[in-house]
Amino acid sequence: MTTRRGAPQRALRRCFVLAVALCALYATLGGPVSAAAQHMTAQATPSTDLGDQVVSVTWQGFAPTQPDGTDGVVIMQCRADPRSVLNDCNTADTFPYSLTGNQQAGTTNADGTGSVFIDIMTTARLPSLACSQSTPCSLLVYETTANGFNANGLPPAKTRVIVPLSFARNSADCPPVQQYAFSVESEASASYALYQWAAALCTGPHAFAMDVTNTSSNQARADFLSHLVDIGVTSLPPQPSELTPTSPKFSVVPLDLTGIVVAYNITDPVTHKQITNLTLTPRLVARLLSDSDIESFFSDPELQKLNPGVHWPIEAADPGLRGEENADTWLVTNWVNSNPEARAFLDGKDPYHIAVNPSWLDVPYPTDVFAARNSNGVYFPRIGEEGVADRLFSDTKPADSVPTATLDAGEIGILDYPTALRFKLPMANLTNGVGQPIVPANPFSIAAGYNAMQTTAADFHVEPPVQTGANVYPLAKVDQAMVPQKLTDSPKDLRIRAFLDYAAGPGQSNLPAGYVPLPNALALQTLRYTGDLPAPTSPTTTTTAGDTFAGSLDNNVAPLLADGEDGATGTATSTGTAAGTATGPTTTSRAKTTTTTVHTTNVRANARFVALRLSDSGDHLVLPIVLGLGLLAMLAAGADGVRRHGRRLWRRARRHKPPPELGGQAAR
Amino acid sequence: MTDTSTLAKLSPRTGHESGVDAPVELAADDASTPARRWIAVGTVARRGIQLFAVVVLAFVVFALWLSGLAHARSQVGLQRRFRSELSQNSAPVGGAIPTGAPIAIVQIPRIGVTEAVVQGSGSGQLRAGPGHVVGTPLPGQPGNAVVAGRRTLYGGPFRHLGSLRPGDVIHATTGEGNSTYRVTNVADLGAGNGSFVQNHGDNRLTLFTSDSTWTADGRLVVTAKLVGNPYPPTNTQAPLDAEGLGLTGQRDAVSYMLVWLELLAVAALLGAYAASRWSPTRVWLVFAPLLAMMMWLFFESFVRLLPATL
Repeated sequence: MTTRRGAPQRALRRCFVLAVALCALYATLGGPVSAAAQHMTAQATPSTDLGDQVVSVTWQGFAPTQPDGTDGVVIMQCRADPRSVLNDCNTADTFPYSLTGNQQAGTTNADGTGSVFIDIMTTARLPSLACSQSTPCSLLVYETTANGFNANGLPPAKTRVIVPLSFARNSADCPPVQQYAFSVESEASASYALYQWAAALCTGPHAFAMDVTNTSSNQARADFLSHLVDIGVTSLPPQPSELTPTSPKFSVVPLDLTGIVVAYNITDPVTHKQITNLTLTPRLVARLLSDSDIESFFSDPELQKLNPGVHWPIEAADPGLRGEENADTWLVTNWVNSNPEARAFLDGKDPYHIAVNPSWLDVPYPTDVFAARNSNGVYFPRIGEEGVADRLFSDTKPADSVPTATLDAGEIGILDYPTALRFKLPMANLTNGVGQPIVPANPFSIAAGYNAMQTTAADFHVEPPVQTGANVYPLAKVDQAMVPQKLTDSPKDLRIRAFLDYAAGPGQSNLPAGYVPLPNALALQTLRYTGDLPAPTSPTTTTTAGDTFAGSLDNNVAPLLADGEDGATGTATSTGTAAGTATGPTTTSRAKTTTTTVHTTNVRANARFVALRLSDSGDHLVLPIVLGLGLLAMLAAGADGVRRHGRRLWRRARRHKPPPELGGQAAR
Repeated sequence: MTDTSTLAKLSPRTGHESGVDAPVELAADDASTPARRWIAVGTVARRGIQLFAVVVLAFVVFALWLSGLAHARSQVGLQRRFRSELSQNSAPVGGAIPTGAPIAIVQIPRIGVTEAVVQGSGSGQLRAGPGHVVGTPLPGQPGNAVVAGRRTLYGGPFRHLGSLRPGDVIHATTGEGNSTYRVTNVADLGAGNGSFVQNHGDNRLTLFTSDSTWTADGRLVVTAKLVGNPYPPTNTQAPLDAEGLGLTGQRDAVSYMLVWLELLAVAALLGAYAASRWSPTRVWLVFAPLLAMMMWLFFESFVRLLPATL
């Protein structure tokens, strides 16, 4: 009975098992989820020949992001062919470098597409990945799920796409550095070119490594003049007060031609698209810089007149500025200062009857530090070119991406041209006033800006006090290297010469975006210095006290506050002006302004340390006394040992070698 | 250890040892009772001097080699801990930072230094690595960040500080990011000169250590200037502490030292007693590690009395 009923039962059981197995197979391999996953794609633009720059990432076929944020998208920069998010995408073995890695979040539209910008980092900024020509990297684009995933591996294959990236040559393509041939500190705008050139010069038969530090013109000049670096790259000549009797004599050679731009990130509240056409005057820039009724900046009559037909955000404009000494600040404030309408605005005599912020009345321009003077203003100067660019960039989205809230969308900042291009930020057209020619920031207008420049006695190229002309960009600048006065035949100088020859020659066709190839006159100036061209007719490469800015600057500067000499007795005091002082000092010299603002931004007022004398404790005597006593004890014990050992030996000698007559008696 | 045998054999062999020269002395002094007492005192003094010499020698070995192992071990742990804190963005950057917590990694390529810097620069903290002087800003922040380090004991991480030259690079990594400094000055400062912790109106890193190997009666001070821009300052709150300036020891360490000294003596007496009963092998096996450990702990507490940067 049981055996007869067994056959159909077994068949039924087999069918059931087969069905379960098929279901499991379908669940893991097939089904609607994987059908969609097969169509998940993502692209990066650009994805080849990359440097430190922003790329646009787009994706298709992803699950639409829910209102609560599930099914969002994360984009991570990883090693090529990543196996583990932790190890290959930056979070684990990156000590002692940046440990947050590089990632961006995005959202997917209802149609399964989405896009986002990500700031791709090469070796210099993300050493743990060391993305370079020889080490390609990738972008991991994945959907976030409620369950998450094990970070020691990758997100499940059906929720991720890997986009390969290839890079231009950078420092990671250089052999390991034993010793740097020479050191360079540089204005931020020149550093991208210098990094790229250093990478080009580090291999080959005459390879050498140069130590490039991205800082500011002021720092580069100060460190060059204190013999701390071999080359200082600056956009402005040093002040007479910066030159001391111990400063090295130097020559000046141009390295690159670029400009300063007013970049912005403003979203049209009606179309939710980024505004990409904006024109500003020195007066409008002055209004931004002086934090004057900034809540209604976008309803300024002059702005409306210059930019008709734009829907402006109702929020306040947010100035993005560098809060430390640098050449860009000086050049921008110089431009503003030399414009009559802007100057009238700053003096409280605005033709449009907008009152200047009282905290900025009588502020001497030009200055090289933007300082917050109004404690409750919107003003929050940031440190470094990237600090400003990051802030401007942080809310940007590709034009077709999901619109962001418009709350933060009124940002306008001062950047250099290469940085603005790297971050894909729109740049304002500049004009010297309504009715004046409108000049966009581009290589042509910057080259024209160079043509209008003046040359100082020490061969520095600087902006004229007033720019005119149809297509002359008012904020062009030449990054110029302060180099030893004459090059010798020492190994270091030979390499500096090779570097400068490269920079003025082949290097001009190996430039990142944001530079204008050096005009012939400038390249010739560099090559004449290196000795690879005939000497000029009138060499003027000595440093003199009269080496000043062109124009009508007051150069009767007060000396910089003397810093207490290192190692001097503890009498140095810091003046520690409290931040947010309502009015600045009323001197008009640049050096004086600089000094004051440095103290308001950088110094911790610290009365606790004034004239500190320390009492001497006797603790330093403890160890010498103990060791001295120990030494004495060792000597004593040693002498004692020698004495006793000697006595024992003597006694033994007496016992074993008795006098002959005694020995005879003993024998008997 | 050599001293162990001396300690262990001190008591039982005393009579025997004194017996060696006693007949000679007695023959000269005619065996009177006061003379015998003087001989016993002399023997004890001689033994004491020998013991002291051995202990000092052991301390020199501890100071120059063994304490370096303790430092190396602390560094491994500190660097691992700081690395994981950095990865979780939980590295301390301000407020009340617990003493002894790692706050930075300092790298000085010229002299091959890579050290985790701990908070606090007292004698106790500097055992683990260079210490950040409480009351000064953290490295990378505006102002004068001061870091002290040892020259001789515990690996002497700053022993080559004097060979730095202007222009040399110092890298510091804190929870805020990487900073680069360039050395501007190397100077020998007297003990009473406090200018190295003062704010000079610029952004600098000051490293200092003792100015000589065995006596710390001044400071070797290296000043380095920040390249580029500082990170935002944080409120580090605490005032400057006199015991954190490198030339003083830890006053309350005396009591600890005495406790360890007593335990060491007890262990030595026990060993001496055991030596008269047990076989030498057994005495060695039991008491050598015990005495070595006691001596290690005694040395550690003694070092706390010494100037912190020694």
